Amino acid sequence: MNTQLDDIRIRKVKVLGDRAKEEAEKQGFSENDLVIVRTVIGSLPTYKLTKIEGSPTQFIRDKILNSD
Amino acid sequence: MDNNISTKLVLSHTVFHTAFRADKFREVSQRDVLKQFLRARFISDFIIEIGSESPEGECYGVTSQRIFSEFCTKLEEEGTSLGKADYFQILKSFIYCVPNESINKLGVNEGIIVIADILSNRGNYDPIIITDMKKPKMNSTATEYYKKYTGQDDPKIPFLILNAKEAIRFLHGRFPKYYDLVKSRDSKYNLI
Repeated sequence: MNTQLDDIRIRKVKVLGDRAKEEAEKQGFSENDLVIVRTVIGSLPTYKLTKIEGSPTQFIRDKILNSD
Repeated sequence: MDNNISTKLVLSHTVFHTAFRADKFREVSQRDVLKQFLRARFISDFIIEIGSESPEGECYGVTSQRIFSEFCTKLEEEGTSLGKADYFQILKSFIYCVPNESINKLGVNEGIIVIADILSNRGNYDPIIITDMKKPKMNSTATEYYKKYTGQDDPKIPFLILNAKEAIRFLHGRFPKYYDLVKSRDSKYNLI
């Protein structure tokens, strides 16, 4: 696991704040898309977004629980 | 956001394991087992759907710390995976695990009955226990528990106990917007 990773959670694009939302728009995500937000704190936090496809429960089990 | 968000889904250990540790169901072709899995997953998707746009710290799902810890132990026993810590962190951001020691000393079913009782008696929430156990079994566990501690022959149980199928019907009626969103995310939900 990346030791710089400070937080991970699922949020809906429409509730994201300025910079995270800008990142979502850059990646072409829609308002109702669910995304995994990985927050990495260096000086100013950066937000890495991964769009969830399909069932979010299935997605996190497949992509996060079973990741190596 | 829909009204009456004070509803809390209190997850029993059965539905919790079925939803979040369901790899064993993948190979099963029996339709009833597949439906059971999809219904439990629908409930967890619903909790995520609402939680993903709620203020952080507000959880729509609740369970006991004991149930969550037993779930974590079970996953640990199934082998190592670097993703487990992240997985647990995400689940805990959606499902409040009641840490109270006296609750966690109780059996898994009695623990969630007590959690639902506390939520309903404080007047802030409208709890619903969701179980994969056959409904009469969970109802009789609750009835016996209330009989024992109230001394009444026919005690009133102050919350609903629903199986996953009934809970989905309830959620459809109360939160149609979220129901439609969850359903639209996976075509397999047409099977349930």
